[in-house]
Amino acid sequence: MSDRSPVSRRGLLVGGGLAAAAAGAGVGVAGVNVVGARGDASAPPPLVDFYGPTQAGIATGMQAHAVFNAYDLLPETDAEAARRLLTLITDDSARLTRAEPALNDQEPYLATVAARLTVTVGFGPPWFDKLGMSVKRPAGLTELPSYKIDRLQPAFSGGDLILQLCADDLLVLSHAARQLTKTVRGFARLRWSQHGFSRAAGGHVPHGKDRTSAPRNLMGQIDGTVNPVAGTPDFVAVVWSTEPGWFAGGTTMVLRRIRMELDRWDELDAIGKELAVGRRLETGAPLTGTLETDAADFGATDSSGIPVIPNFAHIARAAPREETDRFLRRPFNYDDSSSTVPTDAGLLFCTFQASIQKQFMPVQQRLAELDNLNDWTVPIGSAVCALPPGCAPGGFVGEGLFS
Amino acid sequence: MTDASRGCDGLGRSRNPQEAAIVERFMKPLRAVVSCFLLLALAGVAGCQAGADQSNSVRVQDSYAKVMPKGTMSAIFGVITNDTDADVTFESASGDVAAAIELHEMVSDGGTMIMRKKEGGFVVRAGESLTLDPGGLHIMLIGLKQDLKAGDKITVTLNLAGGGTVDVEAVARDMANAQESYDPEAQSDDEGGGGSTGALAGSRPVR
Repeated sequence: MSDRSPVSRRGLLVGGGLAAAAAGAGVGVAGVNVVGARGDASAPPPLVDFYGPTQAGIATGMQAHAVFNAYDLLPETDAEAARRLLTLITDDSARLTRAEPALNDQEPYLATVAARLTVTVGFGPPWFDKLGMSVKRPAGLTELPSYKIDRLQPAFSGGDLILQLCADDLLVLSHAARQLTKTVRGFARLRWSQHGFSRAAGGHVPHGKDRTSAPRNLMGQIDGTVNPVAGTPDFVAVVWSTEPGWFAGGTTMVLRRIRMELDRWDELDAIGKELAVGRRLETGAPLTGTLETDAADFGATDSSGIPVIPNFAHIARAAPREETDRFLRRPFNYDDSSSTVPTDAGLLFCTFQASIQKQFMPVQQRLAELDNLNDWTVPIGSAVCALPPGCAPGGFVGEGLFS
Repeated sequence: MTDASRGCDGLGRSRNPQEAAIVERFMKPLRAVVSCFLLLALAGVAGCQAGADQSNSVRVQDSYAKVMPKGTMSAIFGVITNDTDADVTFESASGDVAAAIELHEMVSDGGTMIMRKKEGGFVVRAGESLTLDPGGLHIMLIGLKQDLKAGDKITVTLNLAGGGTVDVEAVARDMANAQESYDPEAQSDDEGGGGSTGALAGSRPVR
């Protein structure tokens, strides 16, 4: 037999898998592409199915590492070429995520572990215009306005095609990213690449019997507490688009590279840090509560009548004003420091929402206007993209663009 | 589909003069050094087709070809699986994607890897598989009739000794490797002089 076994290991591991699509949204509540589980229930299953009604890497539990690659289409890449490109990306991704080498993989022995690898494909606004597909551009995909806090650098911003790759193993991730970049290079030029990390696999802190704590960022904060929970109708409503037509089951991504001024953050003591955010560092609990999951009470005051959670605190400004201004956060940290000071580190603030304009922009506008945390954070990169729905075996991601 | 009677050089039946020239340029030296004798397959495999029933079949999977421009050469790789209980021999290949299609191997010649026609064709033992990969066995496409762009799908036919065919559907991939060169000895016969080594090298891939 060849090294490139045609036998899918997936067949051995399929557990619950993908549920049937829910009525209405056309997207299952179980848009969670995690396949099966084995061994210790707390250990994440090693394979995440690339195929499904929605793309993997969104409802998937956060992996330890992420690479975000943005590409600019070459002038000669037209819609016909884009179609070929997407079939190739799909083929590479489907194989690599089930721990098989890509078709022309030159380092097949780096592809023998899946490590919950996911590949998520996104189209920036220029994708639709350059390919003559403007009519296909989802309503939920909107360029962000320029915020007064922004200090954006082109090296971390924009892009026609964006790939998010996540895995629990950095060697697996690096190999997959390089394979895909080689597949893409004939169609598009790499514009930027950003690497992020979270907890190592198994490094998440237990939080009660049913869930683990949200991950911590480099400021030490627990980040992502009020996220919608995968597998719930709430998650479906927040994340998956119900736009009629090809984009139903898709979503949008906002990726903001937020530099943390950690050397100045160091000048604060714990109480100052907690007031800036409105949560306890140790537990992630709001200053008005005791557990991470406690709802913040923004009306609570101390004996002097001063709000316990300052009105300029991050969570006071970020909290939803409307039912609609919520999104899924999937943030990774970055640390590109190459000398002692200043520290070059921060957050790859990655969010998913059905509509950027309706859900993300109201929150970002409030934070740009007032947020105590802005004194220690600076957005230096920004990109948006539309993530099409997933595909079934035999199909390809983005096939709806060509129907 | 069956065309086992075709010449062992796998030349197309209806070449225009330009294609003929390409074939002549590339193939004349090879014919000089490679015997055309081919083994006959054992009985019992005639009519094998890549089809829905894979329980008792010969099929080719995971096939890909190198992205190359029109008029140059490329190669197809993949895995041939023989699920029958008899050995099979592919004696030639055919198709309309190139002026000529041949079954090749890579061999070491004084430390340099060169490619040449695989004597005896490709033999796949009963119940086993045979991998065609860069630096090894491959299906050679000589004189591409169209640009082979990344993601393009092409089909060629492998012809079994004794009759029967198996289709190979390959997808073109952007590859830095597979820079095979021809047998330098054979090239010295090529009046073209400069006798480029660049079978798959030399030309810029198209995408």
